[in-house]
Amino acid sequence: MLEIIANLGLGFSVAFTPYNVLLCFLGCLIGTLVGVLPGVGPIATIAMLLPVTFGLDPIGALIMLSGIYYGAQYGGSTTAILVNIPGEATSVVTTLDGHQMAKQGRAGVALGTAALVSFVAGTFATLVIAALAAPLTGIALKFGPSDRFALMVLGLVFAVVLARGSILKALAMIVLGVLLSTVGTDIETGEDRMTFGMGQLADGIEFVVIAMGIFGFAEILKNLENPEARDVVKGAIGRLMPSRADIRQSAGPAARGTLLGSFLGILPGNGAVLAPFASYTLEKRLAKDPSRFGRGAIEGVAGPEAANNAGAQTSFIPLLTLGLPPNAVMALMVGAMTIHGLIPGPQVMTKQPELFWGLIASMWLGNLMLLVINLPLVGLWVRLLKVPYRMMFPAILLFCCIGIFSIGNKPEDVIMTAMFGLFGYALIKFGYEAAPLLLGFVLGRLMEENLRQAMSKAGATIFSLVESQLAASLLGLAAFLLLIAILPAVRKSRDDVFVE
Amino acid sequence: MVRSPQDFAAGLFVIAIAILAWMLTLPLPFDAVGGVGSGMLPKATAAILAALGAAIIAMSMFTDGERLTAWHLREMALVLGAVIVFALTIRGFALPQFGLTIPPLGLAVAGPATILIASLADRETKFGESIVFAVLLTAGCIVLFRYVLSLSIPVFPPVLGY
Repeated sequence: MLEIIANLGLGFSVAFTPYNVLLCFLGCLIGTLVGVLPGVGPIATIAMLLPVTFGLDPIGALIMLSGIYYGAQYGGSTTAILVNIPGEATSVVTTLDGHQMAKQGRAGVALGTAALVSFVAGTFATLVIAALAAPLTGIALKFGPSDRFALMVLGLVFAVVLARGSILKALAMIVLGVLLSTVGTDIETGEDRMTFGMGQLADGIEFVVIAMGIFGFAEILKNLENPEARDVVKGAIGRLMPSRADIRQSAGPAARGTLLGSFLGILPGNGAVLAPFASYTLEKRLAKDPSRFGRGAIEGVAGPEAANNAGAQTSFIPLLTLGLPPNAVMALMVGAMTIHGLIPGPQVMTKQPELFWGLIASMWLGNLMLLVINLPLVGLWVRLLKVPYRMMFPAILLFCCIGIFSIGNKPEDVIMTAMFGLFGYALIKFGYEAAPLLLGFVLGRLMEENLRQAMSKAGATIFSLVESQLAASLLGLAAFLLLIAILPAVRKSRDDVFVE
Repeated sequence: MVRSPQDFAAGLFVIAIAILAWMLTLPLPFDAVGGVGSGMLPKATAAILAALGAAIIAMSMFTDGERLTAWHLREMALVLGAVIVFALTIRGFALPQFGLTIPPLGLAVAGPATILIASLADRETKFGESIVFAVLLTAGCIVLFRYVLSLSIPVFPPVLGY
């Protein structure tokens, strides 16, 4: 306990310098600013804003990035409530009751409740991270290469099982991501792999190039094709502060959602995506009058929003302790950290404690910022929601171009991103979800590295991978999960979860 | 009978990629003295990808699914073309195949060009509005990226003495 306090103390001493507080503030502000634009999800937001952090020192950059991350997440909830467009899968649930509340003239209360419970959930999740980081890192340091390989396989399987739509197609995307990660010079043998003899592919495909091509450019093409009906709430936003009765109704759901989200977010697969759905289902079951749900029940906003934010935050745990990004957004954070010369994993905590704890402290700071800046700025967000798409997308495009160019001052990178835009458009046309691809791409390199280490022992065969008991059981669990996910009965109930 | 045309095409698409990857990595060894050869992961994933593609095609025969929708080629060409124009003009580009050398024009030219070309992709675009918007946005980007964030992005053509 004392250790946790000491560690958090170190973290806050790093995060609470005026400069870092300012960076966190700016990150939250621009993260929300971009995240609130309809049709721009958190992945596109973070990819687009990445270049803004290029000139900063690693700690400052990470603090600003986590600010951007929270801002982008909160921006998604804001559009869910005000426009009925979820920024990403995890805010789908918020549209159900949040948008109904907005239609009943209680948009302000819905936004205020979302911000308040997010803050409470975020505070709790920060403590969870602080408490679990050290022991989990200790365990992670004992993992051998085959254990890490098995854990990554399990993580990818989780991501498949939790992906929406066809399991086969999600699997194909993960495998394709891993395949793309092998493009470039083989680090060990120096052989060119699938580079078409092009020099700029020698170092592999730049992560940001894929992310911006698929989530920036291809999304623009998709949005141009299907102009979304924007159902911006007319009339007043109303007061922001929930009344005493509102708070009484929200407290229970928020507490349960926080616990649920904190737990699910820790899982090495994309457990966080389940959290809001699980919380909504739970609250509906517990409610005295379930028919109120879907008609503007405040519990239907408080529970899922708390779960969403807690999960979004604890999903940093597998990233920071094991070096495993559990979902596409976290995969993007890995890309961002790598640009700043930081490889996420158990070594970060032991070798750069001030950076590690500073980042954790800044998470809490980010949550506080959201509360302090977002509520007073609600009016501005509403106005932003009315910016027509014909002006929005050229601006996004230019931002992306400048961003990609700035990574290495290479025009070739920009051309490559356009190619990936085309590729991403094809994926959309063929009904593929791109998020698993991004995850597979990031994990692919780590997997190959660990596979190599595991197999490099003398006399190693494919069975050396399951020599350690842990690796064997992780791989077994992965196979089992995959098997039951393909079974029709489970698939049906899984679809039901997402339908609700 | 194909009951889900989109999945059918989706399966073909990944199989094509898998075949391409397999051919490209053909000369690379699957295993090496040290265990994993440089060809192992690409070949293994290509094989799995092809198998998944086949499974997706097989499923498309049995379950009803989405139809294929037309590609919006005009929007695609304009949006991605705008990006290419940015890439070619921002700091110059040599295209010896076409005997062309594009001079470095900087963000001051590449920015508005990108915005104007991209704007054409939306039929609601009003040309006058787009020009004003392009100029203002580019000016904003120059201030933000060059001066506030001090990234080393070229801003003006060197002819102007910068």
